[in-house]
Amino acid sequence: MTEERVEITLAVNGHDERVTVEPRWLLSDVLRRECGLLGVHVGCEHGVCGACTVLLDGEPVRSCLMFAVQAAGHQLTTVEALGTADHLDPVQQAFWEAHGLQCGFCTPGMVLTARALLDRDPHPSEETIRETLAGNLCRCTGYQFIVDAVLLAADKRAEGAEGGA
Amino acid sequence: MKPVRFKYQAPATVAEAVQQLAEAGIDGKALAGGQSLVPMMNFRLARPAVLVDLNGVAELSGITVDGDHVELGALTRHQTIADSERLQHALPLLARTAGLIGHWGIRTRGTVGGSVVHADPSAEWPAVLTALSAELELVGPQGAHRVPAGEFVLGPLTTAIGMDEILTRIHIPRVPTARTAIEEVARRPGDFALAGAVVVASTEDTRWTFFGLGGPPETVRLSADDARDEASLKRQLTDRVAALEVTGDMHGGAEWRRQVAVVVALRAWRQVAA
Ligand SMILES: Cc1cc2nc3c(=O)[nH]c(=O)nc-3n(C[C@H](O)[C@H](O)[C@H](O)COP(=O)(O)OP(=O)(O)OC[C@H]3O[C@@H](n4cnc5c(N)ncnc54)[C@H](O)[C@@H]3O)c2cc1C
Ligand code: FES
Ligand code: FES
Repeated sequence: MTEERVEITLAVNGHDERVTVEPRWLLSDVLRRECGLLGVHVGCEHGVCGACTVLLDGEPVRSCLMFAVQAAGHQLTTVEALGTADHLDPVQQAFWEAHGLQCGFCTPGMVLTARALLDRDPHPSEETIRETLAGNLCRCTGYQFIVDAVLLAADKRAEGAEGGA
Repeated sequence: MKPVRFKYQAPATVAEAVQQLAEAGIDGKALAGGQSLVPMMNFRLARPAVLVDLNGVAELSGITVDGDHVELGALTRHQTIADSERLQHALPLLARTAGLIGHWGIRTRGTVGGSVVHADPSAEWPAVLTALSAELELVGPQGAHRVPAGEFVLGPLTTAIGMDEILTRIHIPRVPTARTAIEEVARRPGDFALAGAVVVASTEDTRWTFFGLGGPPETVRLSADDARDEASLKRQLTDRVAALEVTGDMHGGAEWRRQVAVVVALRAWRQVAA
């Protein structure tokens, strides 16, 4: 079969990226290779590990289980949009302070899922956090520090909201 | 791994989608949430030459509730169902079921229709829709027809759908007097169930529909008299489950799954009996 390519526009982290893709290219691969967003980690490519999590219109999705052509017309958020090295997002800051990461492979997926959770539920219970993050595998931390980090992030965001008001 | 090349089609209507699937014949496949199909394509266990993406077909999404029935568009996502306040009132079993499926990042994409057509023996939806006597509306080149959910799944990953047909809507009767519950055992929240049971109790009888036993959903019915006290109920359920065909796998043997099936059946029953 001849190689069909299509030009699409992806709205990633607040700006539009024109990319030319084959329909079979996974969103995870296009974000990494064509958009240079290497925070999108690829672990399993069958939906199990959650490392490739990105936000699609604010909700977490597995970018390894979507074709890039399907993401046209939606708003995508990757970990690169959250903060910078000098100015971390409260969730990132909390992961740092609570030692919510070791090797960092799972971290972009964890941080994005946690961010989306806190947007939906600013004060989640520990049980909700555990259930929500059950879809993201971590081989290093044993999860406890990640749960602590999300609880801390909820506090930080609450303080930030008060301080900013 | 990566999928093989395919021709990508993005129809806007059911009629277009049906036509594209009919033209593609055996090489075509519909794409809904992609949460079962895309893993299979990534590992090249599925190699469709033509992929008909249903995500742009607006008429396939949505939840309708009226007096005596609920209608789900096939493309309605698990998370939309879990979050639906209307369903939490009208038929709470549906919202509860959707919340049991996979993880958040799976539920935001995966669809009720995709789950039924995929027909994984451990999937919740085929059992729940069977238990609720739902009807599935299929549309093909010859038009639309309805199939009872209980007759749709023929075996593991095998259903009565034609290759040029699309599941469009799911019709679920509401029986306000019936009490319902679902219980399952899985290793972690979101993992596929090792065994699960849906219970529907009415004034005449109580029915348990099991999933996770290796084949299509299986229903066991006991009269209201049979289901009076827990000890005799447990004996009867054990006998009935012993007669079901159960397949074990590396996650749990057949005998063990039978025992878990009785445990979840009783847990579900306690909720409706309370
Ligand atoms: C990590 C993980 C955990 C999961 N856990 C669970 C779980 O606990 N319980 C559970 O039930 N499921 C689970 N799933 C599967 C999930 O529910 C899928 O969403 C579902 O099985 C398939 O739905 P889909 O919309 O993603 O369909 P797709 O993957 O897009 O399609 C599946 C099949 O159905 C066909 N199809 C889809 N829609 C239609 C339609 N409208 N008409 C005709 N054909 C159609 C496709 O051609 C394909 O053959 C899990 C998946 C993953 C990756
Ligand atoms: S790489 Fe996507 S879920 Fe593992
Ligand atoms: S920090 Fe290593 S996988 Fe989570």
